[in-house]
Amino acid sequence: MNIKLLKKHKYNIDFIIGSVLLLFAILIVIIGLFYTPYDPNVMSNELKNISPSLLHPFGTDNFGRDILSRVMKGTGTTVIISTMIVTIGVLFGTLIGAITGYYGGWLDEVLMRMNDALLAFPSLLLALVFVGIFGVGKYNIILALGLVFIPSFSRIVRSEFITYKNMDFVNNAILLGASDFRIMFVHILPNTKPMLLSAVVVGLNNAVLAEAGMSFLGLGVQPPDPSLGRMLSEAQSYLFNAPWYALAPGLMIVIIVLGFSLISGGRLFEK
Amino acid sequence: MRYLFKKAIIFIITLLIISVLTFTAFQVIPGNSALTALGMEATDEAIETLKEELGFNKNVFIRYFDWLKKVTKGDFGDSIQYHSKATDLIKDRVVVTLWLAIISFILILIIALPLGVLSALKKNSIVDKAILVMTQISMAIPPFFLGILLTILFGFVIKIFIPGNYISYKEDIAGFLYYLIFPAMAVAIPKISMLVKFLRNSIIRELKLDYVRTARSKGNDERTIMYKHVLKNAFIPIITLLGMMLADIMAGTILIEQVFSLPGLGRLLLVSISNRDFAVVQAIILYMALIVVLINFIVDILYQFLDPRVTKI
Repeated sequence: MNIKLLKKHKYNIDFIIGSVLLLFAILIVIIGLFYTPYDPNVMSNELKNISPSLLHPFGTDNFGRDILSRVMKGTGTTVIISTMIVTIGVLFGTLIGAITGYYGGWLDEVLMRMNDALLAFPSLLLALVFVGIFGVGKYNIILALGLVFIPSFSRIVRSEFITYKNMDFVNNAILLGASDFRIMFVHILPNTKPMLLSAVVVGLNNAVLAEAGMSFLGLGVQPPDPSLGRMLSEAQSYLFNAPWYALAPGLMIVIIVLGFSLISGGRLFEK
Repeated sequence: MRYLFKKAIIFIITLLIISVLTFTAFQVIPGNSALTALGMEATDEAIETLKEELGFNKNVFIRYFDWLKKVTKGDFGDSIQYHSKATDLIKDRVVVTLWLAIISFILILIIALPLGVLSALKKNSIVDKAILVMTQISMAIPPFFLGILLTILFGFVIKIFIPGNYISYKEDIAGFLYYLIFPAMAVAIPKISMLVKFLRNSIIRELKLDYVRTARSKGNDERTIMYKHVLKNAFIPIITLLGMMLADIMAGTILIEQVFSLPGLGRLLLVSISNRDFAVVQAIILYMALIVVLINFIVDILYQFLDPRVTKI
């Protein structure tokens, strides 16, 4: 399937640029797992706020920690958290979408009304409501943002299920005596893959932005764990003394988000 | 009329759903701020009396209606961190947030509309492609990073803005508005990109329709067609997008207020979340929700006047 996808996009410049950006980000994450130039959490009094140099390509922060090393670790944290958020959204979204789309009825009505009400709400505000209830922290953020991501996925899956549930292959399966569960998840679900896949890419894009935003507000990843959003909020307090601090974490977020948005069909140079 | 009636009903139902959700989230779920205020060593009797006082022992439905009665009067209870009424705290801050949202919205309109039209008029030219690349990149910049970049640019390089030198609207309204222009830019730029892209595609779609061909065959010049026919129709779907954007701007101000240290609703909300000051949190959430729902309602009504076809569906 991946080969096909690649062939289709072979000459699409957006897709190529997007993939290169994402591959770069993935490479950084993988290297960061095994090796960073310095220990990302070691503080030093002499090395406070050093401007970029050969030894510290992106400088050091207010605690004398190497910014490049912290960005390498922080990118990993951001990517892992975003993936978990989207996983929660996809799993529960698919389940709710499949059940409401396939069965319809009053449950569908009630859940979809709630869905609409939630979707009309800015996602940041909704996430803040959940954080307000659950409390602050890495795992609470995953839970809160995961919940926020469910409605959009369930809506997509629901409309796909409504399209497919009256088709011949489904009727055929019913005649053969397949159970509802089997029809939903073995027969219909594979057909929703293209739609779901593009929704996942868009979801990852939003999840990275949302996680960075939450950590920036101090509600997500807690110190001393490095995280891109958190680093930006620290950078902001030292803008005057260390304007370079914001550069590396900020650019890293831009690279990831731009990569996802280009792949998901930004179609920059459409004919 | 039926359309209006239907929309009004949906508006009221949405408000009710929001009120029920907020009530469930902040009143029913344990960890209530009033109980935490008593501390860990509180005696059972103290907790009981407090519960009795707050009406925790009553039926959930009765509690909901009691709560709703209070809320509609603007009584959200007292803040445990500031020891004053939640509504009083909000009243002071909402001015900042609303002005920030208004200035951002004005910036979006005056920059995005001409750019979108230009981009569509010069479709596939260098100008169009440059605009598209710019929009693509600026949409990928998180608003808080954009805020930092703008602070560096206008504060340290061009030096027309002093970061952190916020002036209260009570002291100097002109200085207050001038300070707000910079955070407003950070809120506006990603939205500008979105609107430019949307407007461009909307105009290009309209240009392919039959009435444009008819107008051309009648001998109208391109300029008349564009300004008298196409733009009028291309702007209609924009209204819905603008409504959604206004809601997004309200949420976006939360992040930007943090970057530019503006004492608005967003900062109050964050401080209250950290201190688990639920009276203030629920007041702000309800307040923002009300604004968002109200905007959507107004957009729906506006839409009906601009495009009477929707009522026929």
